[in-house]
Amino acid sequence: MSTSLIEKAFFLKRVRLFADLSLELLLAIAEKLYEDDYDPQEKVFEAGQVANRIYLVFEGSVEIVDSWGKPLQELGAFDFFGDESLFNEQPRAYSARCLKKSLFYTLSRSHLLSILSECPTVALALLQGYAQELPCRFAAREKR
Amino acid sequence: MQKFFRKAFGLYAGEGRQALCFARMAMLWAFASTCLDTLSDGLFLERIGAQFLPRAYFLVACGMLGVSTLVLYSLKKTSPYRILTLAIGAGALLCLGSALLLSSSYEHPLFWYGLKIGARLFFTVMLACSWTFIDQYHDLQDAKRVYPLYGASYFFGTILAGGAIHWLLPSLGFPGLLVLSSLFLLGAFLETRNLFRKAAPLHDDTVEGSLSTPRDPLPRVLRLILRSPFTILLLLVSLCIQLLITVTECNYLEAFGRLLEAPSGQGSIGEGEIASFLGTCRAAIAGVNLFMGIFLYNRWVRKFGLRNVLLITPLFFLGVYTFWTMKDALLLAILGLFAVDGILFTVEDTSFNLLSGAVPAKLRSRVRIINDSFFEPIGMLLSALLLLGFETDGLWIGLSLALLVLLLSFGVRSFYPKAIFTSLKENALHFERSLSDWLSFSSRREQKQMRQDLFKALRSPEEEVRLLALEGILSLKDPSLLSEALLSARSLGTTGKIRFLKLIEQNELRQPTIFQELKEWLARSESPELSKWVSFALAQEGHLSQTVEEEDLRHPDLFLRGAALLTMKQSVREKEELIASQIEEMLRSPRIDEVKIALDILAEQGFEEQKERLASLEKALPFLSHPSLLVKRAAARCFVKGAGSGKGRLLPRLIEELENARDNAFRLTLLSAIGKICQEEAGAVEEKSLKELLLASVHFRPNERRKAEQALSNAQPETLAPLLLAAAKDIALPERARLLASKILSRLSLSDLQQHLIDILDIEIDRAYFYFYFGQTIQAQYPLYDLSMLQDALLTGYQSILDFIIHLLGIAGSLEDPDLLVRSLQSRSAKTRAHAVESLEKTCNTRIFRLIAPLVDDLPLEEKMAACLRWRGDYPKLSLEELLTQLDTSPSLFDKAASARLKSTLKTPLWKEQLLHQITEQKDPHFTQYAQELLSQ
Repeated sequence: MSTSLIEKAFFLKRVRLFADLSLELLLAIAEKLYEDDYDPQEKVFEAGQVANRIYLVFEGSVEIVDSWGKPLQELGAFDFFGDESLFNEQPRAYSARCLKKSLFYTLSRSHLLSILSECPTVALALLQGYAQELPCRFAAREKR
Repeated sequence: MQKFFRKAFGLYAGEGRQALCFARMAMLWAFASTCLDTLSDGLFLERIGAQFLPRAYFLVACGMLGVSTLVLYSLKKTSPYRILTLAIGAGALLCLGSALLLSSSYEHPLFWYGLKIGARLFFTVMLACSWTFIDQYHDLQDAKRVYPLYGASYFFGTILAGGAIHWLLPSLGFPGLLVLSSLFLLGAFLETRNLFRKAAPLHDDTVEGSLSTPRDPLPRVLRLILRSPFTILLLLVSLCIQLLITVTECNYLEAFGRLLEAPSGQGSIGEGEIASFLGTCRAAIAGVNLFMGIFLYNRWVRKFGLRNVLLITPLFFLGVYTFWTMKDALLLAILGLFAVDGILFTVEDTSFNLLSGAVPAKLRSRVRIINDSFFEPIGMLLSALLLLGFETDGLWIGLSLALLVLLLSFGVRSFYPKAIFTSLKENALHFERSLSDWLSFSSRREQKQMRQDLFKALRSPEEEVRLLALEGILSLKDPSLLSEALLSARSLGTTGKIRFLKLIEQNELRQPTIFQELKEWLARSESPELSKWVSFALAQEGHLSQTVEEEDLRHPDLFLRGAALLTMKQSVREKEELIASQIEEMLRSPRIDEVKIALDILAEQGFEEQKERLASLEKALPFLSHPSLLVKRAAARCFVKGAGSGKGRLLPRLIEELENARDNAFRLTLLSAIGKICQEEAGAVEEKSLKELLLASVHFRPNERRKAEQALSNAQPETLAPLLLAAAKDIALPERARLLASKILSRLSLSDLQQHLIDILDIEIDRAYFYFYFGQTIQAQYPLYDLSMLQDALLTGYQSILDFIIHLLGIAGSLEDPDLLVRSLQSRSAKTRAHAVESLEKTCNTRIFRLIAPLVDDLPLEEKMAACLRWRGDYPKLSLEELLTQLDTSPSLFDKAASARLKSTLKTPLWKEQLLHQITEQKDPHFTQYAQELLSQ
């Protein structure tokens, strides 16, 4: 049996981006989630590919790999990835490969933008995430 | 010549080269496929005989199922381009191999079966793959214009093939023609490669990358199909058409074999005679198709609409079969051939491609694959079985099928308009829906599952999850669900329990079981903090059953003091004065929490007596502008609980506070209060108040706009509708405000809005073209000045009027989500934009759609400028100064600011004097501030 809307909404509540939203908002977003399952070692997307969706990890784990094949990060349940390209409108800057059998829920760019305009807390959560990465970026720039 | 060509084929400037490439590709493979198919048909009839056709169809059907599965699997692994080129290669090999065997006089019966099966498989695969490939480069609106051209090219290829068979078969023979076909396929391969390298595909937002395909398992696809009646009907029509094709093909081939043999009286037919006859017929039919494809189909769709054009096919088949069952004649067999090779190709195939645009996005590619890859073999298999079972009744089977297709087409026709909008609407996020709404939209099985999941979450070890589940259960307002919810709430910690109390207050639940449970909490609680909250909550509802002494009214703890005040107020009437003075004292306190509690008490008291209620609200009124948000919200809650008859005079003050506030919760509460006043007091909203509310709404968040719409929809239509109509027409008001007025009007009196729609649109279209024309031409008129800012301002003005028009049309067409239409029209995806235009076309009145079509359609600049000039004749040539003066008088603040800025930058004569004059005339604080900044520079 497929996952019910309620179950999806409860899943969203545990994803950092949507943690502050009420049940009504979560249900509206849950309805737009698209289920995508992958086998171990299967590629979710590759660097350079056109980007249209953000991925939320429901179960399993995924490895983020840079365009030279170097592993950058391992993500698990309730993490998300693939959001950056939706905002900079650039192709994917990295690849994502599943380490285990994984299930993702995805949201399209247009849905994510609608959510941002309706729920400022989601935008704030994204900004917080990006801001946390900024010091690393500056450090990298200084190194250069 | 180029202009004529473009006009004849409905092409836009710059589109010709790519369109010609696609057309050449279609023509080249059509030549090869028709040659192969016609020669194999002729050879089969001559060497095997018409009576074995059902057996051949059965084998073709089995082969098709295998090939279709292979194509589907390949689509998961590779791109449509690769599959198409592979198919072309396989076709070329088939032609060359057959030519070789034919030239070596190979006569084994299996070869004739193999050739027929191979030819048919090649044709099917090419048809599916070439449309999938072409689809990547076109959206729905492109498809309407250019697909008939590609169809026409296909027919041109068929004419060439028919001509080649007729004229060259005697000299080149079968092998020669097959070699020629393989050369044409080489040409098709080169064109495909060229297109793949040079043309840019359109990306769909619903899939990740260009190589991705839907990964839904079959059961889910089936579930999605079952939820869409339009998709079911479209698939059924398609399946029945496939049955009809095979049955008709068998009928006409059998008739040709019989009727062509009869006149000669020799008992056998000459070498290649049937192939030549078929080739000639197909060439002639393709000629008719060409004419229909180029000149008729496009115009029919535009004139009669797709819904009516789709009836042509079943009606034609029905006509042919009605006569054919009465009289067996060669002409009727030729008409049968025309129905399959002509009508089905020009009308049905193109209609299916256009109609499939209304299939839900998640299913669209699947439906096309199902149709192209599976329905043909399944249809052929079923019809082969039917023909084998009822050997002599082929014509009657055809007649019954034609009738069935006609009935199903009527079904498709009636579901199409709703389906096209549903397909767009399914993209919308429904933030306005509550859990109860979601449950009502779900099937019984899903509802059961959702409720089970909700109760499962009550047992979650995480308190946050349990609270979310409780939020859901309480929002259902179903007393039968409360016992389990209360049981779960017992296990919450102090903070969780306090949050639960707030949920109860928000949901306005007044069930005795809740208060019984709260009393138990109070009795058992070891947390003084929780006891305070529970006491106050019980006191608010008059359920605190403890005796209150006078000293309790001065209790240092605010909650306990509040609870005592509320309890005494409800039980001891003679202490009213003491209670009132106590509340007054609390309201004067410098402590925010004390004022807040006092306001909470005010909100609860005096439900029965109007005078008392009014007095409470008067006391709460000044606190709406308190600097503390906590106090403001508490004051606003007083107006929700206490609002009602006689409070209309407070409305202007509430609206004033709405304008000044920025807090979402405060605004929503005030809007609820306004809604209550509107509901209970007819005529409470006057012109001035309405205008102020609409102006305040310009800065509202989406949920605040929805709340405002809901609040004012409670008012009496007779008094409010004329005011709303005037506001919708008032171009001095910001567009957002006018749209809110239109939305409320559509709820109160849709007919009023629809009646005045054209008047509003005429003005807006005129304004839009004005902005567009000068936005595009002013820089060229003054090449030495940098007018980019003015240009941007004009084009922004154009876009904002366009948004206004679409919103207004959406509202007047009673669409559920005009915001979605606007967003879709601004989408980066050409496919989504095209879909939005189609949806507008289906929901708008035809006259209105014709007016706005050039504005909303993705037209090249040249076409848009032409439409602009058609609308206004010729625009007066305005000088820059005249244009800026016109912008000065615009209702848009942005226009005025852009004009002022440009005048100051260019230092136009007397610009300062003009600006000072504008400041005194317009009295707009925002403009004044901006103008003064410019003057001080």
